[in-house]
Amino acid sequence: MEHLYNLIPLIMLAAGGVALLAFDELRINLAGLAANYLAAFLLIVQSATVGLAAAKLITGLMAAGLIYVSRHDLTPVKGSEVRASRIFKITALVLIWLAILIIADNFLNLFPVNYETMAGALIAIISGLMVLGTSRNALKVTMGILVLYAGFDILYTPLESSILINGLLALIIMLIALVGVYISTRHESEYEE
Amino acid sequence: MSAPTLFILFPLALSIILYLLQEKRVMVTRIALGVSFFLALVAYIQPLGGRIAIGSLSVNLQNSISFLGRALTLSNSDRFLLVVIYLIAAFWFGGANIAQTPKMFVPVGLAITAIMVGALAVEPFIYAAVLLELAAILTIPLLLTRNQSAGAGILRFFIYQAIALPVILLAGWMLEGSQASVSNEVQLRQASILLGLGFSFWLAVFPFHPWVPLVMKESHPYSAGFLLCMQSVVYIVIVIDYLNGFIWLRDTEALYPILRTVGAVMVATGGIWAAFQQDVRRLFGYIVIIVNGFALIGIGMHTASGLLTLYYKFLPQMVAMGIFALSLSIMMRNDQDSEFSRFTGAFKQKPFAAGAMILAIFSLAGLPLLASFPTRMEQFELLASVSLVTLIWVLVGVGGLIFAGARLMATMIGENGVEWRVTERPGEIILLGLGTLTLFTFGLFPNIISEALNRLLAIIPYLNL
Repeated sequence: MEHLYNLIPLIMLAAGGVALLAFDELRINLAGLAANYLAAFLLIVQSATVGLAAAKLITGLMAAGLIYVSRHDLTPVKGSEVRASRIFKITALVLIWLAILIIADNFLNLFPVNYETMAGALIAIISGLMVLGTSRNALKVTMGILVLYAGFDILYTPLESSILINGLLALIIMLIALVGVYISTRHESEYEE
Repeated sequence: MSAPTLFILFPLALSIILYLLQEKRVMVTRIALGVSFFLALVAYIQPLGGRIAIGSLSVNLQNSISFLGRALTLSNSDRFLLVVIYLIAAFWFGGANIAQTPKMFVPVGLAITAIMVGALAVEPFIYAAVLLELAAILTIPLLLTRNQSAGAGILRFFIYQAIALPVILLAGWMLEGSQASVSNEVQLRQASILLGLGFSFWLAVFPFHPWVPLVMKESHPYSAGFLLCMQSVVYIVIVIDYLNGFIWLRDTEALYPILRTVGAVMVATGGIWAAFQQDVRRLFGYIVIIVNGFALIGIGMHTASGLLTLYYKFLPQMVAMGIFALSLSIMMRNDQDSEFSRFTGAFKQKPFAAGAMILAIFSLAGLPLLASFPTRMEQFELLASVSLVTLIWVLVGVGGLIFAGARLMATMIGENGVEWRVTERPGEIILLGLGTLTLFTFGLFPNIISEALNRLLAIIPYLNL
C-alpha cells in the first residue's frame, strides 16, 4: 500500500459492506451506503478532478437521501435476521476482504490504477454482489446495486473522464434509486410499514 | 436538422409530452403509432445525409450531432435498423389499446425506442451500454402490473441489467486500449471474457436465463413482450457492432464456434424447457431465449449470408411475437391465470386469439408456410455445412417448441362443456386476422419482403449484398 491514509476509505468500504449485508434496519443500511460513497470520493479524488469526485459523491448521497425520504417509515420484521445468519455473512465478508487484499495486486496489470483504488473497488463490488446474492428485498437489492456501482465508479472514473458518460452514469444511479423505491412500494418485503 | 434529432431527440421529447397526456389513451396511442410509422417510412425512403425536399421546402438532413464531447451518428447503413425498430414500435403500439396495457406503455415505450436508437447511434459505440441500461431501468415500471408486487423475475432483470453495464464498459475500455497494441493477448482474452459475460447478462444466455420466463410470468404479457422483442433486436445488433468495431475480436476464429455453441445451447435448453412448460406466459419467455439463441448462431456462422438471415428474420419474428403477446393478452383479459389447463376449450370461446397464438408459436418454431420458415431453413442449411452436431441440438430445441405448441393446441381444442361462441371484439378479430395474414405472406412470398429490404441491406458494408 502506497499511502497508509488510504486505509481509512478501505475501512469505510468494509464497514459499509457489513452495514448493508448483516443488518436489516434501513437507517443502518443507508449509513453503510453513505459510507461507501464517502470512501469512493476519497479514493476517486486522488486520481480524478475534485469536481468529478464531488459530483459522484453528491449523486450517491442524493440516491441514499431519496431512498430515506421515500421509505423512512419502514421497520424490519422482528426476527427476520437471525444472529447465526449475521455471523455467517460477516465471516464470509471478512474472508473475502482478506482474499481481496491479497489478490488485488494481480488485477493491477488490467487497469492503470494504484493498489488502494483496486482494493477499494473490489471490496465495494464484492459487497454489492453479496447483498444482491443474499437478499430478496427490493430496497436492499437496490442498495446492493448502488454499492456495486460505487465500486465500479472507483475503478472507472480514473479511466474515463468523459462528461457525457459520467453524467449518464450519475443519471443511472439516480434512476436506480428511484426505480428501487418504486419497486419496493409494490414489493412484499422483509420490512413492514 | 440532423438525422439523430429526427430519429432520437424528437421521439424522446414527444414521449415526455405523451407521458403527461397518458390519460387520453386513444389519442396518445394514435400519435405514437403515427410518428413511429412516419419515422420508419422516412428511414426507408430518405437517404440520410442528403437534402429532403417537400414541395418548396428543403431541409438538409445531417448525419451527426455532437453532444458533450461525444457524437450521435446515423448513417445510411443504419437505415435498415431504423426501419425495423420503428416498425416494431408502430406494430406494438397498434395493439396496445386492445391488449389493455398500462397507460404509460405507449409513452414509455416510445422513450425506450428512442433511447435504443440512441444506443445504436452513439460514438464511440462502447458507450451504447450506458444508454441501454437507461432504457432497461425505464422499462421496470412498465413491467409492474397494477395488482401485483414486483417478484423475483423483475428483481433479477433489474440486477442482471445493472451488472451488465459495468462489465461491458470495463471490457470496452480494455479492448479500446488494446486496439493500439494487440500484442498483449492475455489482456485481450480477459477483455473478451468480460465482454462475453456482459452480453450473457443482456441476452439471457444460459445459465443467466431464468429471469426471462419469470419476467413474462410476472408482467403484462404485451409490455414484457415489447421489451423482449425490442431487446432481442437491439442487443444483437450491438453485439455485431462490437465484433465489427474491434478488428482483433472480429478476426478471432475461436470466437465463432463458441457463439454457435452458446446459441445452440440456448435453443436446445429453451426448447426442452418449453416442451414441458405448463404456463403460456413462461412459454413465451422460453421462445425469446430460443430466438436469441438463433441470433447468436447467425452471428457465429461468420459469413455474410449468416448475418443476412439474421437481418431478414427481424420482421417475421417481430410479427409472430406481437401476435402471440396480443392473443395472450386478449385471452387473459378476465382471468390472469395463464396455466395451460386454464385454456382448455379456448378454441370455442376465442377461436381467433387461440388460432393466432398457435400459428405464432409454430411460426417462431419455423414451420413451413409461416413467416420464419425461409430464414430458419437457410440457417439450418448453413449450420449443416459447419457442424452437424450443433444442428442436431438446434433441431432438438425446435422439436421441443413444436411439441409445446402442439400440446397447447390439444389443450385449446379440448372439451370444456361450453357451447361455441365467439367472444372476441371486431377490432381484435381484425388485428389478429391482419397479423396472421402477414405471417402467411412472409412465409409464402419471402421474395417480396427480401426484395423490399435488399435496397437497405445493400448499404450495410459487412453483409456483402
